[in-house]
Amino acid sequence: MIFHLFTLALTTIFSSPLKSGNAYLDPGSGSFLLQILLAALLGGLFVLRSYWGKLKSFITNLFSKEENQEE
Amino acid sequence: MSDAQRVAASFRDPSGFLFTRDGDLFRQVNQAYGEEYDRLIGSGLYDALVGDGLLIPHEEVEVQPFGAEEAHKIIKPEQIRFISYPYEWSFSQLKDAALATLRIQKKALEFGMSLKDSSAFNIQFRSGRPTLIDTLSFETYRPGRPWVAYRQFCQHFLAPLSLMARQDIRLGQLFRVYIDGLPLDLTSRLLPKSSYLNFGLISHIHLHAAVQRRYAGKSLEPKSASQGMSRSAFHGLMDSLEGAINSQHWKPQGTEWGGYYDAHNYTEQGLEHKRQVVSDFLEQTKPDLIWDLGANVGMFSRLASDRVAYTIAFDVDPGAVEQNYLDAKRNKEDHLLPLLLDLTNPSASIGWHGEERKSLLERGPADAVLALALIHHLAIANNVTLSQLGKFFHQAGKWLIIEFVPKRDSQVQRLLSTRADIFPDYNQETFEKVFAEDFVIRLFIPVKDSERILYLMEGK
Repeated sequence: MIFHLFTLALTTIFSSPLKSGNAYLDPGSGSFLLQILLAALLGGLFVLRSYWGKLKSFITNLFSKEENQEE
Repeated sequence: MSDAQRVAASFRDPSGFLFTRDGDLFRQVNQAYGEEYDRLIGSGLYDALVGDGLLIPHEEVEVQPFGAEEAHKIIKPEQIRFISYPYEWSFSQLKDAALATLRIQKKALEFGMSLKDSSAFNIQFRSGRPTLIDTLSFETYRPGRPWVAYRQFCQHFLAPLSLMARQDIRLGQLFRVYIDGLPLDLTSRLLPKSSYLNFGLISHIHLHAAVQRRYAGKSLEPKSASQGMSRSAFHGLMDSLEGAINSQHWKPQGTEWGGYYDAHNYTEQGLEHKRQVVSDFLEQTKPDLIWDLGANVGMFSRLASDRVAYTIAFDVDPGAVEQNYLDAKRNKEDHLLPLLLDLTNPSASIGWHGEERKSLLERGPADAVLALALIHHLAIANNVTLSQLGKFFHQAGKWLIIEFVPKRDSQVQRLLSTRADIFPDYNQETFEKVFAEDFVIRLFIPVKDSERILYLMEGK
């Protein structure tokens, strides 16, 4: 079922092949498709990760301030 | 007319190819790839990667091209001392090669380029570190387009590593059969159920295999380059693959290893004497390239590599090779390359026309071969005759430093304890007589406190 939905969605945006100048590997339809399927999730995680560092240092600072106050 | 020859393994990518001329190795960059090559150099990516030790350095040279009409440039890459293949690497060697490939890809993206292939065979160990040797592996990054080498990366790296880590270390040897990496459906079937708890393996192996099966042979490519895969998704894919590779771990059984040298037969004084004699033999022969066959964790290989001789430390035990590699990496030993090899079935010449990946002996000969505490395993445990051993060693290297382990030795007694002694010719006299057919025995020294004898022989 899930694959049928993806097929439907993808056939609306995919149809003719895009030839890349120097690609000599067959990327594999399934492997290309999987990347598109995972794209939203992976992209989201990547953006989250970019902010993670900032968030972590913010929290670390917060706690170290509390510890300082306790001292 | 000079003697030019195209390298048999270099045929897949129309961007260029390797050829040899008068013994030197060159890479031709074809016109079709000229623009991409110029971008690699002009963008600064080449310098950045070479600076990080991730890409083989080369120089552009003015030599006669191999196929003149299509040549853009000819480059001369720095020569790799010994070409090794992924099925000869230990777990951590393959893992480090995978991580290096992803580091290269991330660096390429910073410069607006992307890897158009991710073959494990494009990685070689140079001064102990995994390095990309195919300078023509880059193409301009096109936003929106998925990674063309994603499948290859999963097949060449994640699939074998996950099987080695989670099912059995020996499954890495499937790479010898599946020369373009392990099929993902096979990997998915062989992985244990617990692998479904690992997000990287669910998505890049199990789901990947399922989607491949579903869409096999169907044409599905993005109509517009702007559709499909955003830049952050592309980066996210690399992060996800890196996480998946990093979550594969393997430690030889017993975890703390050790014990590899506990099984030897020497007193402290005997071992020290053996080290001294081997050092003396190396000093006399001054070899540049050494094959240590049956190197274990590399105790004697280091006598050679510490003298700046490039030493390949072969062993059949994946645990010993792993420990040896990790030690060499930790100590930054750039003259030592541990590799996995079963001497009773050494790497054959395989691939297209049976000549894409070279056999062990085609990659020789070495200047010197070390065969220490080895021949009893081959002669007694594998029934190889002394004459066959002599012929093999003669082909493998010019000099031979070999240890004869007589039947009286307790290690040989142990091998004979479970089988009939059908080896009447396994004795010192026959050994010397048979090896003299192929070698001149220069020196022989009995090892103190033992029954064993060390020989220095020179090939005839």
